[in-house]
Amino acid sequence: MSIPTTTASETERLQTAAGWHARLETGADEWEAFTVWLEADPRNRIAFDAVDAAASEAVDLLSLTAPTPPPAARRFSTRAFLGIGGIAAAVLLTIVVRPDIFQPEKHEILATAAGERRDVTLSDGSTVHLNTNTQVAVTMSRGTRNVHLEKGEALFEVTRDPSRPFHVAAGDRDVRVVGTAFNVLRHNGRITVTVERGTVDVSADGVRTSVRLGAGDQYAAREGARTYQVAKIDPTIAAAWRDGRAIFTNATLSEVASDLSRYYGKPIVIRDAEVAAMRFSGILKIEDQLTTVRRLAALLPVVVAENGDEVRLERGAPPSK
Amino acid sequence: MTEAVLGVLVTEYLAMREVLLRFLTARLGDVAAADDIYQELFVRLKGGALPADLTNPRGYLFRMAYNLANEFSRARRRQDARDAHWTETTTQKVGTDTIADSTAADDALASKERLTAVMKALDSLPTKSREVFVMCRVQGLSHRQIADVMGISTKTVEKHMTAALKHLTLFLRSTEGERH
Repeated sequence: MSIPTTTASETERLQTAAGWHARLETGADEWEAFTVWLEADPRNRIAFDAVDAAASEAVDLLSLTAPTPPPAARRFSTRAFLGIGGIAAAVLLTIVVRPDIFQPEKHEILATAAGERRDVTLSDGSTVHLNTNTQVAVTMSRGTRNVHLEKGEALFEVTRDPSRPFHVAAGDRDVRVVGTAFNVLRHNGRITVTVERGTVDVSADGVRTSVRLGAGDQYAAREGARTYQVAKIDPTIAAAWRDGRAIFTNATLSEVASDLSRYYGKPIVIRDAEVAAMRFSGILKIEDQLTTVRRLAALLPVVVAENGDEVRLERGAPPSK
Repeated sequence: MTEAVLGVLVTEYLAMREVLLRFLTARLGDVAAADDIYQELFVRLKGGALPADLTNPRGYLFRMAYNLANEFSRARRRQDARDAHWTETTTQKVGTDTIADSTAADDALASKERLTAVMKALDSLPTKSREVFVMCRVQGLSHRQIADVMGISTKTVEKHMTAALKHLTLFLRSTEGERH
């Protein structure tokens, strides 16, 4: 029952170790100096390990904070959906459905309205989290699991089944999965795939080679173009919407407006090019449209104007600090 | 394009063998583990996605080595904790014989206790430190971005971050002390 006493020099050591951890985790390029510090005393390594363990446990715990479990998503039968859905559904079904006379297939369409979020467990145990204004078609057969992201954004947690690959098609891109968690966004002609855990392969229609992504990789491409970019990012940013947050890092205000517009019935419009080009970094809680937009405006020299059709961001007084 | 990046990284990887091994040995206190991770680094290079443009291949490789070493060290620590916990709680002595005991409930309890401790540690952080910690480590913002959002300097962000890390470490160390 003895509480270990931490001596003054040990406290200093921890302070230094914490400082190293703070700097190295955010991109500091001080590797030689860090090596020298570690070599100076074996207790430095132990202190750094203690800091790293505490930090990672805290992060694990915070990342566990699950969103409130929403009720099961609306499930439309294929027929009912064709009844109400019209052309979009017809097009979508020709893409996704590969009739197999020997294997009964299970189709379902999952959808959310603007501002709505839902979690759905599929028949194989995989989970699909649907963000705002999203529509996916799911086809399960014995040999494959196919999901077509018709529009919007979805985060997939795929149960491992090597005999039955899991495909997500979004526009002209195909994401192939064995077992992993990843986010796919199809918005404004761009497709973004972010991997949280595991590995996925992404390929473009008509291109034989695929790109392999691991945890923390983000793939971005414009639909119709062969080129793409892969960058390392913190995948929790792409998944932040699950907790009702949107995170922006050095995004232009027009990108922010376009992204936020997905959540609401009314578009967020910027007419002033100078305002559109402003940069924003930060976290916005997704609430009702005016609250969210006002919160954004409070951080920038812009004001919010509103009428029945749109919410506008215009040049205004700089925020008072 | 990616091929070219891979080429640059592999060349750099081979050239940096000594310096990476020195770093990994210092980080892990274990020459054999350092060697394993140096090998693993190559596997990850070949298998993983690479950045489209690379301005600092040396820093990139150091960072990969750093991340792998942290992962390795955490796994080693968890394994040690499990082993210690296992012999502590899952066996009992009858005469001179050691016999197995039921375990699942004990394990669940121990990990629940741990979670509670981590939660308490987070709750006891000063507000600013906690905010900085969450923005940086959970939401992945850089110190620069946090500084912009909070309207403070990056130096102050770093100070809050260091204080948060030190506090969490000391707090968890004291609860560990209570358990043994």
